[in-house]
Amino acid sequence: MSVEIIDFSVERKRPPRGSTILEVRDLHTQFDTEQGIVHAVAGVSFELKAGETLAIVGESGCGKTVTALSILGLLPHRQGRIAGGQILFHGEDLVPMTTKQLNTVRGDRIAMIFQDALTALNPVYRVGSQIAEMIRAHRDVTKQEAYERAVELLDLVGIPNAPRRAQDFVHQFSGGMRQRAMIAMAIALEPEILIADEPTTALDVTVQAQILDVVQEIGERMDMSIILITHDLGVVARIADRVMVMYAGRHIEAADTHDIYHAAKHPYTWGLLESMPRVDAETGKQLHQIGGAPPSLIDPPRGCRFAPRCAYVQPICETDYPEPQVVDGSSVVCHFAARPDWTADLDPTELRASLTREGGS
Amino acid sequence: MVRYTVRRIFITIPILLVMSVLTFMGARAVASPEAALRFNPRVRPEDIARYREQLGLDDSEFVQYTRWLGKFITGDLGNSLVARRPVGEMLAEALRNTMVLAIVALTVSLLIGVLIGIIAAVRQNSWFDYTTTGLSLLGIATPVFLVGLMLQLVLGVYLQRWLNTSEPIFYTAGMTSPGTQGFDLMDRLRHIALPATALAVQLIAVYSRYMRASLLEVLNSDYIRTARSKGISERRVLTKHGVRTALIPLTTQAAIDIGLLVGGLIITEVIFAWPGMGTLFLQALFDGDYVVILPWLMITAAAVFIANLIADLLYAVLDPRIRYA
Repeated sequence: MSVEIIDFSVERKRPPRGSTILEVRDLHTQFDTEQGIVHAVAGVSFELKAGETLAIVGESGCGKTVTALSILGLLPHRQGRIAGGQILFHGEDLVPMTTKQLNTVRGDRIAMIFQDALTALNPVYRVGSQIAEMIRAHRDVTKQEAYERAVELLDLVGIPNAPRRAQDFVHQFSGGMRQRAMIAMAIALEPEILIADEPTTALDVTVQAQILDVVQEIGERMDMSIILITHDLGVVARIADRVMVMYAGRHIEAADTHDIYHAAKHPYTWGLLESMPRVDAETGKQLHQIGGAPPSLIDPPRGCRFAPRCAYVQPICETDYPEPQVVDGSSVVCHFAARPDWTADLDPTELRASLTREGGS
Repeated sequence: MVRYTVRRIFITIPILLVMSVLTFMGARAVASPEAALRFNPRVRPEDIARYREQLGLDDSEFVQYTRWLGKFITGDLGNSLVARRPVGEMLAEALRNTMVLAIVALTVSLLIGVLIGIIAAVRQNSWFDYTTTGLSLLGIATPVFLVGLMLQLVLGVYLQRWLNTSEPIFYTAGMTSPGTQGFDLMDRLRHIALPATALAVQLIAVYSRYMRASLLEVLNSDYIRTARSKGISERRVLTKHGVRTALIPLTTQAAIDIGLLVGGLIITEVIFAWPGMGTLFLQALFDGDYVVILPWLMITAAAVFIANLIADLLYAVLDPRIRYA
């Protein structure tokens, strides 16, 4: 990585670190299927601050990827649509924008790294020219200049012998190389926001670490804000500043990374953390699992969506959806988050007992 | 790829040899060379016997086959039993005429079919999509002889009557008007219009369906989403990333189809009296002219092999994922 970065980014005033550059408000995204309308994202709100890395975590199908695709308007044309909410980028709403307007944002100011680079890159064009195409779409440069820049970028993300590899097709790359090429494309124009959708899922562990290093290093170097979508809590601990946990199309907890690992406030987050293998765990102890399966997103539960699987479930959970509340700096969507005894060590029977006591008094 | 090509050609040789045995046996079983003579009521049995001897028809099948094969390989195709013309010349002429018809019909069909396919895929489930889907099914289901006869009737006969012209706008038979000197493009076009349209009805139906399916698959792929995420125009996403990739299977299908059309236009050519391979074959079959039938079958078989080889090579050229070693 000895190559000097030629500045291809336009003179762009980066907002001061810590100011909000992206704000998603009450986002609703739906899909038409033969079984009915799937409410894949049902009221997600979050903020991304300049320079921070926000991790969105949750199990498969909880709406992480759909949230990301909604930001750039990349939902499948016919089936998917944003049914409500706002996506404010520097205060400007991306939701009502036409494709033409969105195209000035896509790639240039907000870029995306997709999960499986083998299918996410076009199989019939050379890797270098696919990167150059994106540069040419936003900058007034010649084909030659754009291509040279593409080679530099491939070198920057750690692809050896980049001038030659730029002429290869994606199927000639190894899994890690493909992901590096995807990253090279996404960072080509030094976007303000980089959305990485499970960038390491298809890779083996050692390569995963390398890819995350590349993302993190370049993110810092180019002063980008990163939205990292993952279900791997190990990855989160490694690079995220803040974490948003999603469940069944809704955010349920958002907090600083440290707080998520040490002072989580939502029973689902507790379950997630307990299901993570730990080096310091007792040997022979069975790994925790959250019983049951996520609810149907066609006909979701009326109250708290986690209620059917929650060990602490109370009658109110099944009827009322809890409002987000801020407790010790974390935003939590749970009726009981503000209770002083509300920690992962709380016994569900104790909760019941004390609730009865309080109700009686 | 050169090695692959050479190997493919070598594999073809034994297949063609086996084919030659089968066609020889088949042609000899079906076509009786002296049938043409028998139509003449004044032919005496001695004449037939002399004729059979001349052609060596009384030798064993094996001797006859090897004698024919030897001549065939050295390019000596002999003279037609009925037309008394060199068979090589007759086949070359018929092949040329058929290729003209096939290539015109194929080119037009590809252009129209691809266009319909693209629009139908981009506007999936629109009225255009449903209408063209219905028409395609109708086109595929309608036999070519029906389409041909309807065209002759409507665009040939009725049209002339309505316009009250001295000669038809579109001719219903032949390749040129009798007595035409040299190459008259308008005359040629007015002759080829109807047979090419009859063929195109089916080909457009097939190609538009094929293109629609191929493009829909491409448009639903991840790399189209990536292309959109790059901020390039929707038009460029569709043409450069969508259509370009979706055309690959269609191109190879068209290459295969050319091979099939060499021997596959019998009905169309007969209906429109087009002096091509199909007309030649049918005439030779009626005449029992096995001297024509045998090389005809070999050529049409070889055309299919060659076209398939070209299709495979084309695939490797167009799709970098495919490499033959």
